[in-house]
Amino acid sequence: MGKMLILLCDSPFQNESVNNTLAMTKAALDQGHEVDIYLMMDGVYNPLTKQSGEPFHMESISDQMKNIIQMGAHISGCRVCMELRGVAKDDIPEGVDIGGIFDLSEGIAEADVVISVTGAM
Amino acid sequence: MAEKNLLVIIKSQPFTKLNYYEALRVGVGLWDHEVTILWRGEGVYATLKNADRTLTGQFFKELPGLDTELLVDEEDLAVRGFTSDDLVEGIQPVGKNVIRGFIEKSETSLVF
Repeated sequence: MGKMLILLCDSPFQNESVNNTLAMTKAALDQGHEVDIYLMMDGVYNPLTKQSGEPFHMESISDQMKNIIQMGAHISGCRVCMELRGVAKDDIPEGVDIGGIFDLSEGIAEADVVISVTGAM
Repeated sequence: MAEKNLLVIIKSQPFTKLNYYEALRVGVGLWDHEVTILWRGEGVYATLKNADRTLTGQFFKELPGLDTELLVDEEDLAVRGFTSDDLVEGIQPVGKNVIRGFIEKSETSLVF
């Protein structure tokens, strides 16, 4: 089985790439693969626990992230990006780690495949 | 930790969004891998001598010391009316065949 790293830089409720990332993660975990997600830039907004999908009658991205953590995904976020945006440890679910560029570096070293979801056109 | 051959492709313009900045922060931060940075498309504007470097100036100073290869797509430069004379020192203009070679040898690519 392989290990996939997804670098997620897009924000929730604005970019389908976030939903695609979650769907891809679930599919990979279902197939027995390991998945790491590293959140950078606006990607650090995705796990905010106070968000609600209610206005759009959808499950919140944060709840979906909790779900994939329970399925075995590992999620960590860039400390600097969180500080810049005012995202604190208390704002994100248990199981989402706060890390740094070294964690990304290590994730790249360990991954069999890396997918960058950076919003680049 | 296994070192990888890593290609950071910057195709976002150096304004409007901060992708161009975050890409360089990643490029510098991943110094324990063998990193090549390639500017292409709208990203090439960041390689010009007179581009604003308020945010990225420090990275441009640090990258050559990290043995990071700095490349720009010469065709994407030319279609925008620029030549190698317009580039920051240390950035090498390369053609599509050379770029293909870098893509082939890279184990991982991050696109910003």
